[in-house]
Amino acid sequence: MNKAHPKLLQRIFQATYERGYRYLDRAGDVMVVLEEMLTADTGKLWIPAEMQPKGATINCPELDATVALDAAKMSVGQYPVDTEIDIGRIGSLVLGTITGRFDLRTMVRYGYRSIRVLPTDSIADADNLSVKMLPLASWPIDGIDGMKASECTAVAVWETPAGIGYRFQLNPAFAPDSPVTTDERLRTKPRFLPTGQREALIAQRHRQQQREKGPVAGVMLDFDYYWVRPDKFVMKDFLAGADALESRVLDEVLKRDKR
Amino acid sequence: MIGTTGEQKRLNADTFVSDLSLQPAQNATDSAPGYTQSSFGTFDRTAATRASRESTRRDPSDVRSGPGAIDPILLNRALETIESIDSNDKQTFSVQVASLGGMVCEMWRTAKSSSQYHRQVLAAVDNAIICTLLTETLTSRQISAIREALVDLKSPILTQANVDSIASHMIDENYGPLAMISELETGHAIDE
Repeated sequence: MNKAHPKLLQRIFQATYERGYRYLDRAGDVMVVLEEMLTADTGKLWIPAEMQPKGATINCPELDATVALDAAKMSVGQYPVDTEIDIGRIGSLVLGTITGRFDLRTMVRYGYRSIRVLPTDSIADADNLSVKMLPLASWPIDGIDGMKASECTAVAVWETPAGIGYRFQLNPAFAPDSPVTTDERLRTKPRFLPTGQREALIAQRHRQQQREKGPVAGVMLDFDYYWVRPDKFVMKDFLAGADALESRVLDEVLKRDKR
Repeated sequence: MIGTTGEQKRLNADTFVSDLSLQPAQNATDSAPGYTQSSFGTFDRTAATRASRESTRRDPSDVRSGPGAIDPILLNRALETIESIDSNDKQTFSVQVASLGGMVCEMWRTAKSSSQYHRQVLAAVDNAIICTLLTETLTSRQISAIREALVDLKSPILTQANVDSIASHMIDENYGPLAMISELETGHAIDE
């Protein structure tokens, strides 16, 4: 099986705040402003989707982006990530708009989360890969009665005393329509086949492309970077910090992809 | 920055993921949309997107906007000043408001390269400061209205909706066009 790059499935910027009660008074005002402002800024249509006391959302179907806000938090998300958007700029525009209108004074937390998947052909492959990628050597209990690890999930949170941290999770994941196992014949290298080598090679390439474009199963890499109650917040610095740390974490983790 | 307690961290993790409409898996962690960690149900990942994709609205080019913001250093200073205004001490109050007025005057220099919407919002702030200087009063709601306008001015892009929203908030706080003539009694005069 060829190695694949992790595919970015979803990314989110989120800010949580205190005393955002004016959401209930001014949500309509904010939605009118955001609808026009985001449409003007991105050149794509943003459509208010829902506005309830519990929260409001505004979507951009062309960019697969959603802005959600309520009395405690706002978020800008993109799923799937097929088009390039400046999530930091959109986040800044939304944050600026609600800071004044909700009269926000204290920001509690800023977070940036990205969810990637390292594609495989089947659920069984995803489970096996998760076992290979996780540091089971330090697991306290070894195989009992001939048992072997068949699936692994790990999550860890790392944080500085200053409140800068990240959470990283790795686990096998699959879409409901993914095959349970891969036919062993499909794993055979085309050059070892007695006949139809060319067709087999083309089919293999096609499967590989399909796997990378729309993976149905794989190992999920979930990275969540955050700042808690920062003295000063600059979106550019925050996102640069998230990018740098994510690259370091993923580089180390992907070294374990020994397929 | 202040560190977090374990409880705070858990709350954050919960609220963060709950926004994404993801499927809960184990404790506070979720699997990716469309993917299940084990065999715990399914996830209709694009129903909402499909529904909104089908709807059609006006063309984005109908929305006019103006790029170009006011000097961010001046805006930050003005925001710091408005946050620290103490209306109990008359002398300090008038100095602070006068200082704020001076900053707004300076902002007009940089407004040359900004959009008409930035200028309209700046004019609303200017009007509010002049009213405050005349009446020598500033309520917390009026502070909130001025702050909102200043925060909007930091935005690189504004539209007519921003101007309308600011104007509406200013009028609600008695910063209407007649405020200076009637010494901020406009609202009461109409009521009476």
